Amino acid sequence: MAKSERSNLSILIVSVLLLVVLFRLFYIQIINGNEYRRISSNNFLKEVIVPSPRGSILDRFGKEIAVSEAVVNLYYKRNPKDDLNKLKKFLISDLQIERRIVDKAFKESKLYNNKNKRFILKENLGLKNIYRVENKLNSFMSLELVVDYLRVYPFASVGAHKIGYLKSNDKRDIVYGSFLSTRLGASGLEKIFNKRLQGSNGSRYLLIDSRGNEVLSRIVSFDRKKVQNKSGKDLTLTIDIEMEKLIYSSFGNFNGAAMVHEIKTGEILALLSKPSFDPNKFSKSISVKEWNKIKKEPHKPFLNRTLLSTNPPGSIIKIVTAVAALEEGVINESSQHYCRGYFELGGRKFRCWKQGGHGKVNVVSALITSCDVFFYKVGLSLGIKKYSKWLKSFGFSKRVSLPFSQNRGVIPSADFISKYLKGKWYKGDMVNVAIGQGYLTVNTVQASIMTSIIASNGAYPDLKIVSREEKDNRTLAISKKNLSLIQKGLLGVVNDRNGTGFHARSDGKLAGKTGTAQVISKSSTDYNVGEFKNHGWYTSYYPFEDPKIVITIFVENGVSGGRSGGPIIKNIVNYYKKNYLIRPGAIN
Amino acid sequence: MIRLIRSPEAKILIVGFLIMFSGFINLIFIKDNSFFSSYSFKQFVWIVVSVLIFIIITRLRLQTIKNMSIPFYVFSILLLIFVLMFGQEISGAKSWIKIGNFMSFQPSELVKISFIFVIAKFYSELGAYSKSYLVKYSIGTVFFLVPFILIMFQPDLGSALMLLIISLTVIISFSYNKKALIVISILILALSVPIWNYALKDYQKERIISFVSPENDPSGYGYNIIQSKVAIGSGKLTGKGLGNSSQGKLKFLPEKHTDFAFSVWAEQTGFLGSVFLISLYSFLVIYSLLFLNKIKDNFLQVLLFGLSSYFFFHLLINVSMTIGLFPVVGIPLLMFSYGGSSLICGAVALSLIALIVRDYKDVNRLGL
Repeated sequence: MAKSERSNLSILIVSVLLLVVLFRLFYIQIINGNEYRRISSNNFLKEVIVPSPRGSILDRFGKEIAVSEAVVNLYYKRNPKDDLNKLKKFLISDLQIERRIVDKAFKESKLYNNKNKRFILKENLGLKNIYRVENKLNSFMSLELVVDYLRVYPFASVGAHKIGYLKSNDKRDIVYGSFLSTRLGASGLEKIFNKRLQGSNGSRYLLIDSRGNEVLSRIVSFDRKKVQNKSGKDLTLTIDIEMEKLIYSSFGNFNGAAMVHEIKTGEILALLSKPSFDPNKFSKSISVKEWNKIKKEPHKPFLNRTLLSTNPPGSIIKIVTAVAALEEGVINESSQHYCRGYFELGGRKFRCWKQGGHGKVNVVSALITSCDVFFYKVGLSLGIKKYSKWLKSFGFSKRVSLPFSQNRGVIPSADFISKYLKGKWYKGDMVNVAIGQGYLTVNTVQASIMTSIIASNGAYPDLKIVSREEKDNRTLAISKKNLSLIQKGLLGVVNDRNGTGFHARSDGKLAGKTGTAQVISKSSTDYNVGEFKNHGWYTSYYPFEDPKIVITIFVENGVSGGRSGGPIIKNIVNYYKKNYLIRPGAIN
Repeated sequence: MIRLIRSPEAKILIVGFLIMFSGFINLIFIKDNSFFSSYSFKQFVWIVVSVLIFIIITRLRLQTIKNMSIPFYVFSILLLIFVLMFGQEISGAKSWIKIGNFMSFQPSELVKISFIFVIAKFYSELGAYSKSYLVKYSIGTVFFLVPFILIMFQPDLGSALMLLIISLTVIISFSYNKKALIVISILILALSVPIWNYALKDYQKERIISFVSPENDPSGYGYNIIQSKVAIGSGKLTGKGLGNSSQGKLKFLPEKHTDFAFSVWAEQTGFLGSVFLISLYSFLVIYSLLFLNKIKDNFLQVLLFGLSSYFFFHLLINVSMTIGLFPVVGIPLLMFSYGGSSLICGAVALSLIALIVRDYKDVNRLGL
């Protein structure tokens, strides 16, 4: 390159490039200057949520237990062109929106800072009102309809404890405030599977000034940045919601807990606690007043009685006492004891529930008639060490393999005795726990597991509430002979002339055991018959020859498990026969 | 006195001071902490150092400068190696040498100037019109590649890119050959694919993508470009006035002290202010280039040309970046942006230009 050529050429190139820069600056600062000035009045970029529906919770037959329903919310964003009096009249008299809410929105939107702010007038507008508003959208520029999703539980309080409910999400949308669809699972499966159920909200970007008002712009637009919303995944349970509904109503005025599960698969058909709460109430924001009211309910509707309340098992534990005694060789099939109606130990009388006594009883008839004296004696010769070993191997005092929070209950193990009883264990204590009183508490699911082990000849049930593949193949070694003795006894409980479980008797194929948990009043002066009535237990399996399901009922203050739980079990058996056995297609 | 001010070197120095002063004012009005812990205070210290450099360099003889070329280059390469071994890592790049607790320095800034020196030195020995362009290309490439690779190891994409652009400009201008130009173009095109695939980090690719369509990434890196444009545009003709940079103050603008200092300036002083600032740099560049024809000595020619392009490309790329004409890479506006390295190196370059335009006549007469 020649000398002068280099100099001139470089000056030319430099000048051209600088002119491009200057022209661009002119374009930005002079031509589009006004627009950028407007945007810059404290602009920032904000994400606006595009709601996505939560996944449904379905029962084993595909019935919806929890479902997200599209709802339309009505928002107000001030527009000076609207005739406020007309609009007010339309909102209050046609749409029945509270005057208080309308006045507040009108008043606050007039403040300069709220110029473009949206105020929610009504959540879940309803079909008729959506139609009304749509017709008026052209005449009232300040109304805006926005889609959202409301969580609906069609079966309301039936089985609500395990399904759970929703709570508000702290993440608030700058433009629309809180969305119903962003609520989070607060308890139960809604909480455990929240991630899977929730899906992901979409978003779009808006230019917002520092007061949260949208800045519309023709030169800066973020339409392409939209994120598509994704609905959550469905969750199919092993639950049969219609069965739960039946159980719930069968409880009548009683409270308590119930569990039904399939022995082979471990699939839980029903798991419910009563009294319950209506999770629908928490799908929207709830007022403090209402929340306090629910909290103060005397019957503790939020307590999950299937897993969190533990009680003495009463006579249903005689199943374990019998198995332990037989397996440990303390008794055999023909061992007999005489029941006079009471048993004397160290000068203290331990009474049988039947005043006159049962006379001569063996293990089978003792189970059938639930003879206390027989088990007092058997328990004494068995001893606490062996007994608590068997209790433990039946799953008592252990966590059950369900994802819910639970109370494991206690058994008088060596640990327990040294820790809480300072190592002192008396014969009287042993006599008590042998019939399921005293230092022994269990929950409903644990009781079901016990019965399931007996019904399946020793196999532990692989409990599940959401279908999954793994299988628990552990079994509890109990000899066939002893098992059939127990099973015979349990069949007699329901079907024998003297059986305590006759209230559930129907086709002779049900086997079970009743129990009564004594409720001890802390203060005798505070005595209240209703609250301190005994709790009833009834655990059973069906059908006897080829056991398919285990049913366990716990009735709070039900006095007798047979009388209060029996009819409920009878209903469940009838339902099961009709829907699972007779209609073969329905068997899962 | 008037004659002194009208002398070429005085014009250069006055323009340089105006740039530094504008940058300092701009920095003061991006309010920070208290003065003594603020950017403005540190910048003030660097300005004082720069003035000392002016005084020292303008007292040197051009012969001394030429003799210092190779030691200067070697020294800056050693600094680059030093920084890779002992340097301080700031936001993912190991490119800073810490001086006390207060200041730090970027050797990659210095190497841009020392490269110009060493090329000027060798090309002047070979003769400006030597037909041996292949020799020139090879020498240029070797001197360029050593610091370039060291800088890529830091990694500092902005400095590496700037070194590449300045080197190419100088090498091509002083060893011009059509065939070679075509070969270089093809080489660059062929290398760009593997560089994109292997050499660039994800965030660097993101920046380039977001440059092409900032709206696709409004909250990420494209956000910066949009915010910068909003800042500049909202300045309109006369600006919002000093101290009224809402974009800058409210922290919508990232790197508002360094890479985006121009945006804050344009917001405060408007189109008029932007034109003023760009004119200062344009004067510096074009005025220097006008002397190229008058200078006989090859070393001074290459040096002056290189130093002008050093100023020009920093201006061009930095401003283009803030107005969305170029991807966002970390390149400061020389002597205007906050930062000791760019201020000191700018001052060195400026003093050298002043020195050349003052003394070239003597060299024309007597030679170096």
